[in-house]
Amino acid sequence: MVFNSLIFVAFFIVVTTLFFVLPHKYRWFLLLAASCYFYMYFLPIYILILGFTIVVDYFAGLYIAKTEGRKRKLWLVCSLIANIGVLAFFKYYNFLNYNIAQVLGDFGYKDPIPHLDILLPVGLSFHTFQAMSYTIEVYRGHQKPEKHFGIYALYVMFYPQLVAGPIERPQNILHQFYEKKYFDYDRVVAGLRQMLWGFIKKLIVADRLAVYVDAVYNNAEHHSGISLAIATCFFGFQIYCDFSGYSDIAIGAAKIMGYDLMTNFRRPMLISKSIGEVWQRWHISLTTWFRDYLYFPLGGNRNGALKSVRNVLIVFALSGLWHGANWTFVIWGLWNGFLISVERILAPVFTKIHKLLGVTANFFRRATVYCMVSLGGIWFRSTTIDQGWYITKSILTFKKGGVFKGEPPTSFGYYLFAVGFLITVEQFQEYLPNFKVMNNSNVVIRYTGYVLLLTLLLMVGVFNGGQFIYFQF
Amino acid sequence: MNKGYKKFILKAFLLLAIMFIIDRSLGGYIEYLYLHEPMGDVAAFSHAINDPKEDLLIYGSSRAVHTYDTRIFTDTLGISAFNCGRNASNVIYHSAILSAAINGEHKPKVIILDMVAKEIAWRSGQYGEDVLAGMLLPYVLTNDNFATLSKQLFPKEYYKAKVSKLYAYNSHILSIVKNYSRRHNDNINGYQPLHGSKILTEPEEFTSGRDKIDDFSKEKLEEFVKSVTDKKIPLIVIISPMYTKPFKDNAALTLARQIIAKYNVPLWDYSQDPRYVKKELFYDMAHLNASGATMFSKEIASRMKAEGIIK
Repeated sequence: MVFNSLIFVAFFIVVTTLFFVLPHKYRWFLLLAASCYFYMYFLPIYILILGFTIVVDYFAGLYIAKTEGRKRKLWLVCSLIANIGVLAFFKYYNFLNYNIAQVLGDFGYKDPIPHLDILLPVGLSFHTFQAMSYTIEVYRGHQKPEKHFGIYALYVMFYPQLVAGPIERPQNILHQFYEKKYFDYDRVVAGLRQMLWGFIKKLIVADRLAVYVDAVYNNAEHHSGISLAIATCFFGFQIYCDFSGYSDIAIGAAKIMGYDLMTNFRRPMLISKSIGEVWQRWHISLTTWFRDYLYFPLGGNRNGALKSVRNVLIVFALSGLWHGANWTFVIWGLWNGFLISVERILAPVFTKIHKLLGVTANFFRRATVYCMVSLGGIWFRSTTIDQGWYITKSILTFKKGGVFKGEPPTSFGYYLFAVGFLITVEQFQEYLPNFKVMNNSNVVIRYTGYVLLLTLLLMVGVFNGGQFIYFQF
Repeated sequence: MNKGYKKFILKAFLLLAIMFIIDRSLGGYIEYLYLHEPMGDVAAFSHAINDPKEDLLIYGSSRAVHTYDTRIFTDTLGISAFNCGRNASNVIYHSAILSAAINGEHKPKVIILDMVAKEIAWRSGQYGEDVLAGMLLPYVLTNDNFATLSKQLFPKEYYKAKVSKLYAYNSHILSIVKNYSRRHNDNINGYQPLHGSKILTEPEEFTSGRDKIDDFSKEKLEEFVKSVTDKKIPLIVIISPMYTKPFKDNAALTLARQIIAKYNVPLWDYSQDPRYVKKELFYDMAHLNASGATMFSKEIASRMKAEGIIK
């Protein structure tokens, strides 16, 4: 079930109403049943995969806490193998198979391993990582094992963040399922506001820009360097609004029921002044996951510059692979890792340049960071290495041709409006946090804000039910 | 009942009521503006949909809009002409607006249908449906044909447009502003000339065989041809020039030809006419520019005269 559908609106109203009507002791069951339905709406049979990892991790958590020494480690390894195994089979089997076939094909072996027509379970990478964080945290002693099977299952399956995060940590969310929640007017309204903002990002910005980006990227050979550059710039905003819009809806929906999910985005576009800052503001739940469970265990930046660069590249390459089983994602990850490494190594040089630029430094820093990140975005959006390279080359060599203004009847003005609207609102949110419209204390201003946003949504939102991009991960 | 619940329900109803009033008033105003645009493409669409009384009516996609210069037909044949074509449309749209032309008191003397090679395969993509919905929904509240068609093709969209007037005019506000702020009309009885050329390369392969046949479009093509021929109105189906390498018929085009032949309707195929496959006559791969349109319109008008279709 996607958030931007009428069926979700009905589901959300029914589940939330029942949640507040039912006594506290039954609420976990309601949420678990609702989450199962939410997940099964995509492809019912895949609930069994989720069920398998939930059972393994539940018992692994209990046994990790009960045992000592090697046995304790063995249970952790079992849990990790089960989770990574499921992920590897469904997400990476055919990718691996394709690459092996390519290599062995050069030696005369044709299709040495059979290809499997398997469909990737929705949000597999998200709930697998969330499940792994549980057993790792229990192993590290930061989290007590969850004894209530239903509550543990709900931790993995809680519907707002089940298929596209935020990837929660057990310390943040598990205890909240035991707390008695009341209907808190201010909280409900705050949650609805956050959901509305998420829908606006998705329907006014992401889905609108998707029309242009798809038209250009799907026929890249027919477009000029400038059109490809515009599409690439738009794609940065599209993917940001698509994903952060989902996170806002998820966090808002949970907030209404009284649950606090972690912040996943903090306005990374055109506000970040360094690549490092982008990654402190972008997909925070995944970035911190990799930091805590991979980067730090690898040694982080403690063992000298070279090892730090190595660790950054490993983490970003794997982060790329996490996003999709394609070399284009690995290149995207490595590009970001490379940028962060260069930024760290050349930090003193950049500091001097910023001083020279004086008051214009911040503007140039933001623009440069945006361009560098967008260049990497080409690899995120391209489906093959050839396409990514072709687009990069076309942009950098200013491939000739006119400016594509979009397929009729959509006017180019809508794309510019979408980007301009987002940038304006986010600049206000970041630098003038006291300038409030939707939560202004004056009722007239507040309601004017609601009405304006809802009117805008009806007039320029794209309601074609576009799938959230991150569902595929 | 908890006070918070009461307050929430009360305020939610208040917001809904305000939104309803805004939707009906602002939506009604936008509806009025849209349906009464003084010039521009939407004014031409509205004329074609509501009140086409010209002697020659031309139907088709953007390839019709930019190809048939109505002034040339009027000058050469001495009859009034209107180009009812619409960008990104196909025969589903044409058949929906046809009844306004043939079922009233005034009958056109001749109808041209400009067909594309993918005419009955066009709706295969989701984008096609979205575009069609965008064309039909503004008229759902005022045109019964469009309301029936929308209900049939995209019932959810139909009901959304019924509930919200603002939604029915979704993504039309910029074109309304643009058309009201025009200083001169570049739309000549539905014809919109394209100037210059964007073509830099030699003709490319035409990817004609990629899409599947769309049964609904097939049905509508037959309905269009039958409706016109039943009224004894002369109909000509034309495939206008394309800037592509020579190509073979795809399955959709073969079937379209069969449907047209079944009703003994002439099909004038200029798609691969070598006289037109020149960069200087095309704006882009699919559309003739103003020079190409002039040349082609003269050709068609002369041929109509020569074949005695207009006496």
